[in-house]
Amino acid sequence: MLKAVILRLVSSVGVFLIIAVGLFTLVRMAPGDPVDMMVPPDVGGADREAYVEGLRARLGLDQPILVQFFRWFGDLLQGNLGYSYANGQPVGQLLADRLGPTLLLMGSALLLGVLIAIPLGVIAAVRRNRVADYTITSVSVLAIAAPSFFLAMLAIYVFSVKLRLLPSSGMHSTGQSGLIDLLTHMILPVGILALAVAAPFIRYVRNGMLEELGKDYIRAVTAKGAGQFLVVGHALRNSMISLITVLALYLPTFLAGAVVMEQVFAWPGMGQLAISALTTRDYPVIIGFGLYVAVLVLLCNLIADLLYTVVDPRVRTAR
Amino acid sequence: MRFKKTTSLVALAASALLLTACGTGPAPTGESGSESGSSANVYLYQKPVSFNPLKGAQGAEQLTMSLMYDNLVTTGPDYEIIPRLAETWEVSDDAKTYTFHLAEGLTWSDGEPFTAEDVVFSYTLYADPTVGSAWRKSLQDVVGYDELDAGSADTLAGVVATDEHTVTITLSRPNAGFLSLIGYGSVFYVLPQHVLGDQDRAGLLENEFFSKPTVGMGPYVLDEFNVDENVVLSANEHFRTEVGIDTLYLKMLTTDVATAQLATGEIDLVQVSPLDLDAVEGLPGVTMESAPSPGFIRAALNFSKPEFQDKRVRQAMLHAIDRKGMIEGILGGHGSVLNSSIMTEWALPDDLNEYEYDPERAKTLLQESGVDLSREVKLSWVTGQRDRDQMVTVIIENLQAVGINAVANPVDAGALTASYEDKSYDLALFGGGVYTPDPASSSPMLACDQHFPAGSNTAMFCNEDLDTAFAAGAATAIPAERTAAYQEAARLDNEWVPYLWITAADTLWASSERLQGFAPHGDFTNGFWNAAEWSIAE
Repeated sequence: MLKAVILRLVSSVGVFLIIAVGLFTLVRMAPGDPVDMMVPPDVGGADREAYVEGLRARLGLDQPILVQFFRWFGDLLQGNLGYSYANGQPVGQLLADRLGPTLLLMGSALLLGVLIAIPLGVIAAVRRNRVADYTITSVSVLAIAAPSFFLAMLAIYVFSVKLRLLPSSGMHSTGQSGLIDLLTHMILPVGILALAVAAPFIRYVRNGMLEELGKDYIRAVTAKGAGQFLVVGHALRNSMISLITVLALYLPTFLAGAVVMEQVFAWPGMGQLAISALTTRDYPVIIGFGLYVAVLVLLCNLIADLLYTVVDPRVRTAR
Repeated sequence: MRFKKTTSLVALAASALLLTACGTGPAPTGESGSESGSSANVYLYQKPVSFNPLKGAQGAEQLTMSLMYDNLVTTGPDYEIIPRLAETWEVSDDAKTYTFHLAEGLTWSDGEPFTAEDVVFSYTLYADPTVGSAWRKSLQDVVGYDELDAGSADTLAGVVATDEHTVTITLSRPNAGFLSLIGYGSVFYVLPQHVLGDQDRAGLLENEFFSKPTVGMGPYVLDEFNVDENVVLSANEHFRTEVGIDTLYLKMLTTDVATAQLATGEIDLVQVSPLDLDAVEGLPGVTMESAPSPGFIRAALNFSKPEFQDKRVRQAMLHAIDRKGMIEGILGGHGSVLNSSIMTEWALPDDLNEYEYDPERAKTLLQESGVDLSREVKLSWVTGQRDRDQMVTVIIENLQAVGINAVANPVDAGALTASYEDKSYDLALFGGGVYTPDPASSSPMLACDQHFPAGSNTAMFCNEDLDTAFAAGAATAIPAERTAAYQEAARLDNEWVPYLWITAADTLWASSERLQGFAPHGDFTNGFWNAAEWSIAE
């Protein structure tokens, strides 16, 4: 077991380094020049050429691309992600600053979404082709179909502008930092995002449950006289394997920041950082963000593998 | 059995919880939770990165810096030069000597005295090639610039503190537009010598001080800079007048959110897009005000291409474009038509050709020119500003209607600049500039020796008569002579059509009832020009 984990970790590091090199190549192949983005052509009365040259030299962009690569790679091996072109701040710091708000938003939305999805999915499966199932299924299909940014704008219009119940955006009211204030700001974005998570998950849970409920062991359990609760327990546990897989695939995308949601709700998270870095070709930040997502994917896959062994004893004994 | 079943659920929930829990730690905390003073919320349409006046700053940075720093003079909403740190000033008749009399008894926000030496120090930094400021070239006419540039001096000889409260700037050649160069708006802020004097000049552009400046002469002092969220400023108790509002929150929002927050009362001041006029005007307790912009939206024609060298082609394009229609239809009437790159009223003669919307005239002119315009003419512009996007659609349709094969070519900012560098664009639509304060400021986009990248003449236009007229206008400080010279320049410019002057869009501001004393400025980067006079009515 431990050996397997160590093996996975080592291979993950290898994959990470390959991703890093690939990212650098791809990002630098993209069209657009960060210096051109930073210096508008009509800087009033400025000596643009000299200014641009100075800027290039300061950012190290005047060096041959190979020199730039080895400088960057050497730094990376020492854990230094470089410095943002835009403001000279260390990239690691920039990412760390955004990590908190994003984790808070996405973590709560994910947790809430899963907590909603599991019971509803189970009910839909157990009450298959009955009113409850139809209601849950159609609502979830509707929620999948409606783009969440649209729901978000609608929610802002209804709850903030018209009813004046909730703040329209941001993490805090100006000048406030209390927990209650934070929570009221979280209601709208977390609610909308949880809905976006729950909708497809309900479908996964329902399908997984239906598959398990049709199996022989369920008939055996039922024949032994077990109550419905116990039967559902058996089926739910076994359908959990496919759910974990889905969740593991889903988590990284989610934690990379729901870019659109963060924009709509002016949430100071990863998504906003990535978008502004992309539009200004802030290479170190773009690569840093890419690496962060890579780490998430690798980590989530590792966690999922470990969770399989918890949920399914067969995985454990097969080693 | 039951126990095991629950563990699986717990495992799942715990993994999610774990990730959530990490998040609560580093969540940003605003410390100023319980102030009793007045405060206002103001919209920032971009995210500031640093507050360095030496750098070429973006709009949100300029707005924020205008609260923290102060300059010798600036430009008021009527585009007259108004006093700031300099209470009065004199210009010699040969337009070579500028004397500024500073207000007495001023102190920096940290209590240190402010003197003429700070001004000399700051202007030296702006001109010093070691510092590498974006505004360096604006000082190229100052005596001693060349010596500083060559490295044979380390001060700017032409900027002298004649006494503690007087600064004299001497130019090596006449430049009557010099005041507007250093005072057209959110530029040439005076920096504290007692803080930055011992810093390495080569590293000043990236100096730590500017990521969170603590000492300035402006009405406000930076308190907190919460990245992606807001900038918190508190009143500078050492400011030269009383500051009306204790705390300002500059909030970084998208336009949609800002409009929504106007409705909810979460924000007090927003610069609005003309396309949001309908949504904002109906809001209770919100006042809409507008002011004419000091710059304009134009389409640059690439003069390095033979098709655009015949002035009849360019005149035809102006006749083909329904500029008044766009102002009504897209800008809600909040804009004006220009017929010259010069925007200062006294410099404009009243006999300029108005290039009325007239497709037939356009067709005739095109025919007369005999230029073959059957190939695709690409109109490049940076997408994302909805009013401009709509203008592009109209321009393309208008040009097609007279037989020019115009196509839209959306690009990003870097690509547009690159297409200036390799002279590959056909037509490039962009806006901005501050031209109203002084006609001299229109010269860099037209002069023969200012072709991009040396200057901002992205059209690569050149006309020696026009250069001569501009030079004559700059060479004297006598009003009648300046007027004559610049009116001549405007006539030439009007005839040659170096740019297609699309429109000068007004700047629109929406403010809440609470915010008193706000006066709209057409130069949005100077929109907080009278922030010290704002107050809150509860």
